[in-house]
Amino acid sequence: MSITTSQKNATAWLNPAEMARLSSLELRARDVVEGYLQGLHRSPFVGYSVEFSSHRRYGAGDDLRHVNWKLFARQRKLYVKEYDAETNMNLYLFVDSSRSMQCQVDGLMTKYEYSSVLAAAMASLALKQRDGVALGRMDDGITNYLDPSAKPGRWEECVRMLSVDAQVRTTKLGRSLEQAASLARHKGVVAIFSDLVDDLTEVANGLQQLRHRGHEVLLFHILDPCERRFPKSGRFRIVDMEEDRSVTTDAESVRREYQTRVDQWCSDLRDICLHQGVDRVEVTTDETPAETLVNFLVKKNCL
Amino acid sequence: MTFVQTSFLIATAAVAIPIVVHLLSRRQVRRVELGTMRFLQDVIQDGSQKRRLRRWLLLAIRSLVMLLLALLFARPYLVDQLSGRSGSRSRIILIDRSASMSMEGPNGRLVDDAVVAATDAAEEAGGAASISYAWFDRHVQPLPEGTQLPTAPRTVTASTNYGAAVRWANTAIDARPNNVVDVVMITDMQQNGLQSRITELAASTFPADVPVKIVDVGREAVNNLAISQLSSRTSRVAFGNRVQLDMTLINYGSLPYEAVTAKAVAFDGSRSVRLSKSVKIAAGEAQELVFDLGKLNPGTWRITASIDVNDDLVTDNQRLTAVEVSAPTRVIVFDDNQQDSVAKTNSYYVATALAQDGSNVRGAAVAAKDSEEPVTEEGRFDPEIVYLNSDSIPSLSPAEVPLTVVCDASIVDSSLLPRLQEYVKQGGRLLVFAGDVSDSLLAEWQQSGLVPGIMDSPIRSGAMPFRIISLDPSSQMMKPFDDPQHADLSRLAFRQLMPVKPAADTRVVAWFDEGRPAITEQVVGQGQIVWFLSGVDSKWSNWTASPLYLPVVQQMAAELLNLNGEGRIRHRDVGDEDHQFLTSSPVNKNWTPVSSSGTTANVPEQSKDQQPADQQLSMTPVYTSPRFEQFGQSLYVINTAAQESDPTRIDAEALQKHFGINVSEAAESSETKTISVQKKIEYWPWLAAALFVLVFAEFCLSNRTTA
Repeated sequence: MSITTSQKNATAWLNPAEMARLSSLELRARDVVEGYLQGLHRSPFVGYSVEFSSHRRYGAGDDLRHVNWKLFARQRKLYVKEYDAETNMNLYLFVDSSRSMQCQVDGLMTKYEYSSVLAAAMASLALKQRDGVALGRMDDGITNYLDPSAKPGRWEECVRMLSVDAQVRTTKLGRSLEQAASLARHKGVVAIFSDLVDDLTEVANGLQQLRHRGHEVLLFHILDPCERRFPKSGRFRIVDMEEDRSVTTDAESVRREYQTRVDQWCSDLRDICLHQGVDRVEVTTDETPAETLVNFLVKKNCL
Repeated sequence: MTFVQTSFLIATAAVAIPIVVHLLSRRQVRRVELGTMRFLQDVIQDGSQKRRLRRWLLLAIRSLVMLLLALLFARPYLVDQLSGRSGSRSRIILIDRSASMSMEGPNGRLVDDAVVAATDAAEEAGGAASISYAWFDRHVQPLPEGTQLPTAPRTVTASTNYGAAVRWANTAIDARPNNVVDVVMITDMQQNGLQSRITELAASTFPADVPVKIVDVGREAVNNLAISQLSSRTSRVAFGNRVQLDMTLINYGSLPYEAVTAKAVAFDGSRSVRLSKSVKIAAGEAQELVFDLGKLNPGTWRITASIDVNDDLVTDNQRLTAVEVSAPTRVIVFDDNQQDSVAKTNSYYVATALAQDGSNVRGAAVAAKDSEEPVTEEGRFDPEIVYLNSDSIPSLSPAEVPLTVVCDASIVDSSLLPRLQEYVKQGGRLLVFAGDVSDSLLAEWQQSGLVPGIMDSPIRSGAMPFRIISLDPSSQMMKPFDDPQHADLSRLAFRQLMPVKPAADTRVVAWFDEGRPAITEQVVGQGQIVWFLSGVDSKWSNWTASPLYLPVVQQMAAELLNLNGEGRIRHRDVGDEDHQFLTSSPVNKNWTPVSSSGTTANVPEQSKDQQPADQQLSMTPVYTSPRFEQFGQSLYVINTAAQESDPTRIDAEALQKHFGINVSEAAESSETKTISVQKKIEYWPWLAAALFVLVFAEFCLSNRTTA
């Protein structure tokens, strides 16, 4: 973190607006998690190994498949079996904090805030299962990184990191993903939250590197509704958030062509992800984060 | 370019609306920050020039649409004044010389004022323009080319006919296809000029590209007391009956007339009868007077009625009429007295038929159809039967015996034939019935020139008798029989007839079947002959017993004595054309021949055969002034047309509408009203089409960009 950010962090705790934003993120994330947990009560993450390690007390949300019923019968207390894989599963969260992620036109919040909520919610879910959570921010590279940990207070650290203002740098996603691959040394789940505004080849290379290391990669493609579906009518002065340029246009004259190109882009990304074995979730910020996460996790559990 | 609805031009300011909208829309831009613009940039770069062009095109189209809408409602038109004409200038000046133009005006009479106005119009046209003058009343009389100053006529008596003037002007305009022509009509704007019975509205309109100027020289307030009608109860009064005249006076002015003396003078050439009455007549009213002339001696009485009044129009203060007081006309009926009793002679039937009153022959025909009793009243003829074998032949003088009847052509011998020949040549009228003529007698008849053509011996019919199946519809003689419902001559059956090949100058008025002449008439010398080519003898036909016998005989006799149709006394108006004269009649030097186009011209006294072929004048006379005119046995009574007395004027708009003249917006002087002809070429249909195309184009180009 830069000095400016740390100073900001120092004052962030005292700044009512920042406090409000922090608590807002926290609250939102909790809402997402609790909503999910109330709905399903099942751990979203399943370990890879079945080697028994030890017992631990049953906690809300634990998979009932791992409850030791014999022990319950003897001691009338619920204990779940821990497996080696479970205790070693790390969740790596990488959030794109470049300039383009500050876009908010028709969405509920900026893409960065949306990503932050999702990342915080997932971190909360993982930490509840005592999975290790790592968090990194990226723009032209990994700017902030927290190593995987399941210690108490990790979640607050994550929230604090996510609440820091972005450096408004441009996106270099390929490089960021490469760095992420090098940082995520142990196998786990890598969740990437980005608008993927970069060269698709570099993105594909980055994803490939992550997959090469054996990670399960989840790609949350976050877009503003205006970016995904250009407005139907009106005159607009479109400003590029990453590059200092703008253009004035009427929606009717460009919408169809624009839509075609965006669809093609998304389709190419889908193909890349499919080829790489990456789970891609296309999200627009007009959907609530809870809805997005629930839909994703339900879908994941169903597969 | 001018506009019908100029006020709508304000709407052209709406052209600014699309421009303002365009400018405002450029300012009303929503700022949007997107993560990346690379997709948009590609799209914009690909079609930026096309979009720019489309944008300007749309702006232009929308501005044009607003402009066209405004123009559409403003209705622009071009005024085509003298389209298609160039070249030298010509001006046609029509001058009214009708009777109403004799009213008093600033320069003497209105016709004198018209001459002054014509002179002014000629000067106004400029020295380079060729001027054509023409007088018009009932007809048009063009003045010779090169006339500098028209001279006002001394007397003007005819009625007004604007239609004739317009038609003649159209002819003159057509004769100058390459000239810049305009027309000046100088008139007193009398309304009856539009009501002429020979006005042909369809042909009486000025061409749209010829300016017309109408100069009004008339008077607004006119005081005129006129004799509008003068007539006797019948044109022929039997001797011993009283002669009564009906006179109608109309006060057209706004002032009453007190103690006006109305006179009637009847003159038969030797004696005269005078009557006068005093009359009072209020403004705008009419009054009827009756003059009882008493029992007049036989003869033709020429009657002049006049009123002693000082009003604005003098020509209608006098009116003419005539009455014939006649005893029955002496008719000699020749017969040969071959029968035992008079009642069986052919002449008996003829004489009896002639002795009846045939003044209502049609009624007689109807009555004869309905009943067998003839109508008996005092007849027009006094027949006297002369038997050739026993009686001495009286002197055949046309003056003493106007009509002679030969009941049977075979009874005429070689001594009578020359006398008949001489009688007819001197003006006698001869009615001949066919008979069993011997060949020698037939040859004598042929040589006498009294036959209608090449005659042949009588022929008999076969099983089917001869019948009269067709009539000449223009013949006054056959007029009572033109309606078979009233009198059907085909009911008469004839067993014999005398065939004749008609000569060129013989007129056939009735035909038997197979085109054989049945009744002919011809002029010989100063007389006339009518042949009935079947006989009254019972061997020929028993038609003498038919109810149609009497009217046929009466009609033939009346035709010879000029008693059919109008009779001997014929009434005409000044300006009337008369088509009833035979072409071989001598020219009357008081007539003015009329050309085929309706114009009059001064032609020296000469027969039709002597006229140059290129003049193409007919011998149809036109009456030029009120008077009595004797022609042959007919007396023509010529008066000024009664409607000319009505001074009611028409306004310029009514005249313009009548002749299809459009009013211009030129300034009007107090003395003249200028009406120029404009041909409006409106453009709104083209504007509407263009507007439709532009709206469609705008709809197609509705996607736009301003990048």
